[in-house]
Amino acid sequence: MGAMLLETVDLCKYYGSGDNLVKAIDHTTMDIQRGEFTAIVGRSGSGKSTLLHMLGALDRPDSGKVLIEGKNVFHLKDEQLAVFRRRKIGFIFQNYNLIPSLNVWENIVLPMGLDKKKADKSFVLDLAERIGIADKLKSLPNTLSGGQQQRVAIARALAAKPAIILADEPTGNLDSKTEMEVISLLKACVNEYGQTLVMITHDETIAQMADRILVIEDGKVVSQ
Amino acid sequence: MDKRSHKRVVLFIGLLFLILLGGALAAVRWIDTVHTEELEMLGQCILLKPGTEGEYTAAFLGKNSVDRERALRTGREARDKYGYTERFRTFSPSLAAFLPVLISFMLFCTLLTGFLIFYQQKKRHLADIKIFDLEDKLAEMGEENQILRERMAREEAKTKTLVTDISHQLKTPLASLKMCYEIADSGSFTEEEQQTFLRQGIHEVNKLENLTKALVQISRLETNMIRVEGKMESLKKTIRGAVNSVYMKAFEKNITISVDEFEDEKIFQDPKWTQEALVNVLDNAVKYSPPGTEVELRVSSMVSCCLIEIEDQGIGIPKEEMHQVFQRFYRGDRTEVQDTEGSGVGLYLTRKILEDLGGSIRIRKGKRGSIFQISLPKTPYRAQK
Amino acid sequence: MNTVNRTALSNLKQNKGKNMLTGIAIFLTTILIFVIPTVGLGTVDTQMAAINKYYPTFHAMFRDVDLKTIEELSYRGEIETMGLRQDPAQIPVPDGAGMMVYMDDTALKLGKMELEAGEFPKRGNEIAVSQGLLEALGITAGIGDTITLPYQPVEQGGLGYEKKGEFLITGLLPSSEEQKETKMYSALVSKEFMEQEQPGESRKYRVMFRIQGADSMTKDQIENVYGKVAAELGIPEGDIADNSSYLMANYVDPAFYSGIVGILLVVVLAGIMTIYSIYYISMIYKVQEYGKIKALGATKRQIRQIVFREGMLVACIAVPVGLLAGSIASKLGFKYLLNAFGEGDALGDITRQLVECNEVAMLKPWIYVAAAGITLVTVALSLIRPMQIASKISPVEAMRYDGSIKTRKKVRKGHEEMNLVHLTGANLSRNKKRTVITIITLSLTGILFMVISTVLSCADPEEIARDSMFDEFVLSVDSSNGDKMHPEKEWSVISQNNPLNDQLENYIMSIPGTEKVTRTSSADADLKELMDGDEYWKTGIVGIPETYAREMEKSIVEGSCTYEDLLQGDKIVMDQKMRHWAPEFKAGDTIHMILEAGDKTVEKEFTIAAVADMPNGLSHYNSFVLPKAVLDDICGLSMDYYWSIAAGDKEVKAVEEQLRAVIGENQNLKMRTFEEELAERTKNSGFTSQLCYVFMAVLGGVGIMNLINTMINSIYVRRRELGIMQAIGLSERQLVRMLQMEGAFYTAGTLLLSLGLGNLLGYLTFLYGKKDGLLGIISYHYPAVQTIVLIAVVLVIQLLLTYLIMKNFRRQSMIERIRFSE
Repeated sequence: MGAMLLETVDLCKYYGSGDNLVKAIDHTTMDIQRGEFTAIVGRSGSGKSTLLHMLGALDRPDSGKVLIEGKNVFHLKDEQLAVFRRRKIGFIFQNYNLIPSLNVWENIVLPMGLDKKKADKSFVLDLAERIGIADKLKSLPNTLSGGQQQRVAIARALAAKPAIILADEPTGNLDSKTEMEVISLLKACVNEYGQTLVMITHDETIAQMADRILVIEDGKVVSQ
Repeated sequence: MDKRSHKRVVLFIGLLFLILLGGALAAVRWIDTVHTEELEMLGQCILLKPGTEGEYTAAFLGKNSVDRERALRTGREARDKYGYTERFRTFSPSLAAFLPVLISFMLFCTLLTGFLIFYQQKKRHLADIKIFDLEDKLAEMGEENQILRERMAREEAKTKTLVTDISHQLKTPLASLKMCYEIADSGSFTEEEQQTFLRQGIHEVNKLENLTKALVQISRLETNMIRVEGKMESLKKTIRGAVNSVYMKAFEKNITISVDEFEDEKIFQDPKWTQEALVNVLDNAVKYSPPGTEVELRVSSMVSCCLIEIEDQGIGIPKEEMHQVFQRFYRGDRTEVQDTEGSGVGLYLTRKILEDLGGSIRIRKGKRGSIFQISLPKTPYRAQK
Repeated sequence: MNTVNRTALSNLKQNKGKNMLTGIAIFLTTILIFVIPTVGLGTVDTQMAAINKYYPTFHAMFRDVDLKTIEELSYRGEIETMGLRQDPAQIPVPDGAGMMVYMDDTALKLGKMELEAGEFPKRGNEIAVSQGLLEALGITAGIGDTITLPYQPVEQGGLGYEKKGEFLITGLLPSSEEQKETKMYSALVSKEFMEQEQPGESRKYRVMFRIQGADSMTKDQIENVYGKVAAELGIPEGDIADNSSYLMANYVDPAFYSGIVGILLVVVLAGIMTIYSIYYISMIYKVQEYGKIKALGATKRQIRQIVFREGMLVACIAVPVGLLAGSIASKLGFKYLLNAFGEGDALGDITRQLVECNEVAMLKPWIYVAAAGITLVTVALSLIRPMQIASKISPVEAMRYDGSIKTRKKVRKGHEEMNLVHLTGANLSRNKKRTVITIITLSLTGILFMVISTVLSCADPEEIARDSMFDEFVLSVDSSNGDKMHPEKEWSVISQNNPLNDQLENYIMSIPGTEKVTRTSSADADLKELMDGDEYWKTGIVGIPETYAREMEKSIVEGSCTYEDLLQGDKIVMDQKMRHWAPEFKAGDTIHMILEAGDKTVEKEFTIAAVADMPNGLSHYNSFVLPKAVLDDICGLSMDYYWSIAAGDKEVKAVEEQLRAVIGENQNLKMRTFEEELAERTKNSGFTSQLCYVFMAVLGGVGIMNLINTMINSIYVRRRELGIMQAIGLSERQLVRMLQMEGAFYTAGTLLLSLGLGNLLGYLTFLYGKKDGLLGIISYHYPAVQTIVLIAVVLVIQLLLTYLIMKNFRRQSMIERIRFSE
C-alpha cells in the first residue's frame, strides 16, 4: 500500500449555464494511491477527461480541492503551477502530442529544457532504447507512425522522471497489437521507476490491466 | 426549383425581346439619321451656292448626272487637298447612329448562344443526377437483401450450437450413469445401497479432486512464486515447452493447438516461470473450449516486445469479469466454469509472473472465445517493488 | 434568402475580426486608387483651364496673308477656328506709337481682347481706345465722345501721309503698365474703316488660328500640322509666329500620365498582395467548416459561391466608404496643393480662383466607376485561389486539416539541450519560405521609405539655394531668345547697349550695405560639332571672374586645368551636363564655336581643357566656361550678364529696395533675391516631401495589415501546439517571451533589410539624382530622423501585437485550446 498521492475533495466543474449547464464533474471525492496504475473508465461525456485535467492542474475547478502530495495546487500562482507541472507531472494525450518543428530528441528533452535543467543524457538514451525509438532521434514527427509518436510521447513523459504520469486515452488511434505493446511498456516503465500512472479510457480491455479501476458516470465516481 | 428556373427563363426571354426591340428602334433611327444627314448636306450646298437648288437636289437624292467614279475621285482629291484626313474630319452622325444597331445585334447573338449552351449543360447535369439516384436505389435494395440472408444464416448457426451443447451435456451424466450401472451390476450390494453409494461417491470424488488441485496450487503460491529471475532466452524453446505440457490434455479433448510459424528471438524471461505462465493460459483455453476446436498461438515481433496471442474458441469471458479473472481464487458464477475443475489461481499466477518480468497480459473478445494477449519485453527489466 | 447567401452572411458576422482587417485593406486601397488619378488629372485639367483663361488661346499666327490664301485656309480641315487682324494705320504719339488695329470677332475672342467699358467698334468711324493713349495725346474724352485723331495709313514701303479723322469712342481698352512704359498703344477700329484705308488687292492680314483636335496632340505635332499647311499654301516660315508660351503651358508631359499609371499599378499590386494573403491565410480557419458543409452535401460550386459572396460583401461595404473618404481627401489635398503656387503668380491666382469656384470638375464620375471597378476586380482576383482551395478539399481532409504545411524534411539536426531560444528558432525555421517572404514584403515598404527619405533629406533647400546663388542678390539681363514679337529683347541687341555697365556698378557699390559685386559674362554660341536637326547646336558660354577661379577648379571631375591656363584664350572648360547631349566630348577634344557678339559673330576654336560639375551659381545653367576677360575680349563687348551682389545681413532689406528701384527703371534687367530662391525651394521640397510621406503612410498601412494578419495567423495555427507546451510546463511568462522573441526576429530582419538595402539604394539614388540634377541635390545627408521613426514604428507595432495576442490567448483556457481545436 502506498501513501495517498493525488486526492480530490468534493470537486465540481461546470460548463455553460442555465439550460445549457453541463455538470462535467459533480461533487467528486476520490484518491489515487502512490505507485499504482489506476484506470478511470467511463463512456464519452462522463467527465473522465475533465477529471484528469483537474488532477493535472490544467484547469481550475469551480469548487472543491485538488491535493497533490497533500498540497492544494490551485493555491499556487500560475507561474508556480507551471513549474509544479513541469516537475511533478507528465502528460500523454491521445494525439497531437509532439511539437512538429522539433525532432524526436528535442521533443523528449523539452520539459527539462523549459525547467532549465540539464538532461540526463545517458538516462534518456537508455529510455529511448527501451522504448524502441533510439534510431529515430533526429527524425521529425511527421515521419513517424501513430504508434511511434505515442512512444515518443511516453518517453517525453518519463524523461523528466515526474512522480505522476497522466494519460488521456493514449492508445485511441492505435491498432490492437500496438496498443498492447504501448500499454505494457508504460506499465513496465512506471513500475521500474516507481511512478504513479493514471489512465483514462473507455475500453475495458485496457482497464483490466490496471491495479485499480474507477468508474465514472455523469461526473461522479461510481465504484472504486 | 422549377418555379425559380421558370421565372429565370421568362426574365431572360424578356431581356432578349427588349434587346431585339432596342435594336430595331436603333436601326430605324439610323436610317432616319442617314436621310437627315443627306438632306443637311444638300441644304448646306444649296445655301452656299444659291441658284443651284434644282441641280443639287437631283444629284443628291436621285438622278446622278455625273459619272459616279469621277465624282468619287474628285471628292477624294478635294479631301486630300484641304487636309480633311481622318483626324480632322468630323465624325459622321450616321456612323454614330449605326453603332447601337451593331451593338444590340451582337449582344443579342451572344446572349442567345450563351443561353442555349447553358440550357444544354443544365439538362445534362439533371440527367446525371437522375442516373446517380437510380444507382443508389439499386445498391440499397441489394444491401437489404444481403442483411436478410445473413440473419438467416446466424439463426441456423445458433440452432446448431444449441443442439451440440445439449448433446454434450447429455453425454457426461450418461457416461457416469453407465459406470454406475456396471458397478451396480456387480451384485455385491442392495439396489438402494448401490445407487446411493454411486451417487454420493461420484460427488465426493469430484469434490476431492477439486480440493486437491486447489491445495497444490496454493502450496506453489506460498513457496516459490517470489523468485523470478529474468535473462535473455529463446522464445521458441519456452513456447515449445508450454505447448508440450498441455498437448496431451488437448489431444484427449480433441482440441488442436496450432502455433503459427515465427522467427525465434531472444526475449527477457525466466524460462521456467514464463513457461508456467503460458501453460496456465493454454490450460484454461483447453479447459474451457469444447472439443474439436482449435487453440491458436500467434507470435508478433513488435518494437520493444514480443506479442503472443492465444486464441481459443471456448466459452469466452464476459466483459465485467475480464478484470476479475486475474484475481486470486476468482472463478466467477458461471455454471460452465463451476462445473469445470479449477482453482481460480492460474491467471493470477500468470499475471504476476509476467509483470515481474516487465510484460503484461490482457483478454480480448475473440471471434468465438477469448484472445489472450501477452507481451514479453525484449530488453531487461528491473522491478522496483 | 437562399442557403448560400445566408451562409455567406452568417460567416460575415462571425468572422468580424478577419473581415475588419480585409475591410480596412480594401478601404485604403480604394482611397489610393481613387485619389491618385483624381488629383493627377484634376491638376492637369485645372492647369489647362487656368491657361486658357490667362493666355490668348490661338496656337500660331500667319503674317502677311492675302485674301485668297485666307479663303483657302478657311477651307482647310486642319484649321479649327481663325481670326483676322489688320493694322490699317498708325497714330503718331510723342516718343511712341499707336497702332490702329482691326480684329474680327473670332480674333477678338482668340486674342482675349476685353474692354474696360463700352462696346467694340462695329461701323464707320467707331473706335475703342485706351485711357493711356488719350493721355499721351493729351485728349480728355469718354465713351460717346467724338475725337479727332491724326493717323498715317500703312503702305507698301512704310507709312503714308498724315490724315486727320473724326472718331466716335464706343469703348475703352484697359491700359497696362507695359503700354505706358513702352509708349506703344493700340486702338480698335471697325471693318469699314480698315477696308476704306487699305486697298483690297494689296491688303495683307494676320491670321490667328487654332488647330483642330489639338487636345490630343503634342506641341511638336501641332507645329508640324500648321507648318505643313503653311508650306502647302506658300506661306514662308518667317511669317509664322507661334504662341509659344500658350503651347508650352498646354503641353502635358506623357511621362506624367505614365507616372500616374505606374503608381496605380504599384498600389493595385500592394492591394492584391495584402487582400489575397489575408483571404488565403484565413482559409485555414474555415477549412474544417467547409469540409463539414461539404460532407453535408454542398457542391463545389456552392462552396465557391459562399467564399466569393462573403468576400464581395465586405468589399461592397468598404468600397463606397473608401470612395467617400477619397472624395473628401481629394478635395482637401487639392486645396493644399494650390499652396505650392506663390502669391503674385498670376497663373496661380487664377488656378486658385477656379478651384474655389468649382469651375473645374475634379470629381469625375468615370473615376468613381473605374476606382470601384478596379478594387472589386482586385478583390475578385484575390478570392480565386481561396475559392479553389475551399472547393477542392475533401471532407475527410478538412476534418484533419490543421493548417500545417507538409514539409519535405524528414530529419532535423536539433540541439542537445532545449531552451526557449532553441524553441523559438525551431518555430521560425519550420516554414522558412513563409518567414522569408513575410520579412521581404514588409521590408519592401521599409526600403521604399528609406530611399524616398534619403532623397528628400538630401534635397536641403538652403544648400540648393546657396548652390544657385552665392550671394544675396543676382542682378541679370532680362533677354528673350527667338521671341519674334519682341526682337528688341534679344541678347544680341541688348548687349550692344548693356545696362550692366561700370556706371551701374559704381552706383550699386555706393548703396550702403553692399559689400561686393561679382560680374559674370554670358554669350550665346553655336557649336559646330553638334547638330540639332538641321542647325548647329545652340549653347551658352559663361565668363567667370577670377573670384570664382578656385570654385571652378574645385569642381573639375575630368582632366585638369587652372584658371590661369584658361586665360590664354584657346582652352575652355565644359560642364558635365553637356554629356547628356554629347557623351563623346571629353577633355582634350577640339571644338569650334560661333559666338554671337552683339550684331556680329565670331568663330573660334577651343580645346576642352577639363570637364567640371559646376554649381549653378557659377555656370547659371550654361555648358561652357571661360574667364570673363577672355570672353569679353573675344566678343569685343562687355558681355556682362549676371551680377552677384553681396550685402551685409542688417542692410539686406535696404539694399533690396534700392536694387528694385534700379530694375524698375530699366526693363532689360531683372533681379532674384536669395530669400526668394530659398522660399521657393523650401516650399517645393516641403510640399513634395509631405506628399511622399502621406503616400508612404497609406502604403505602409496596407503593409501593416499584412503583418498583423501573418502574425495572428501564425499563432492561431499553432494554438494546439502552444496548448500542449503549456500542459507540459511552459509557463505564461515563458510563452510571452517566446512570442516576443519571434516578433523580435521579424522586427530585426525587417529593420536590417530595410535599413541595410534601403540605405544602400538611397545612396545610389542620391548619386544618380546628383548626376541628373534631380531636385537640385548636391550633397548626401543621412535621413537620421526618418530612420529613428521607422525603427520606432516597427518596434511599437511588434510590441503592441504581442500584447494583443497574449490578451487574446489568455481568454481561452488551455484545455479548450488543446481539445476543442480539433
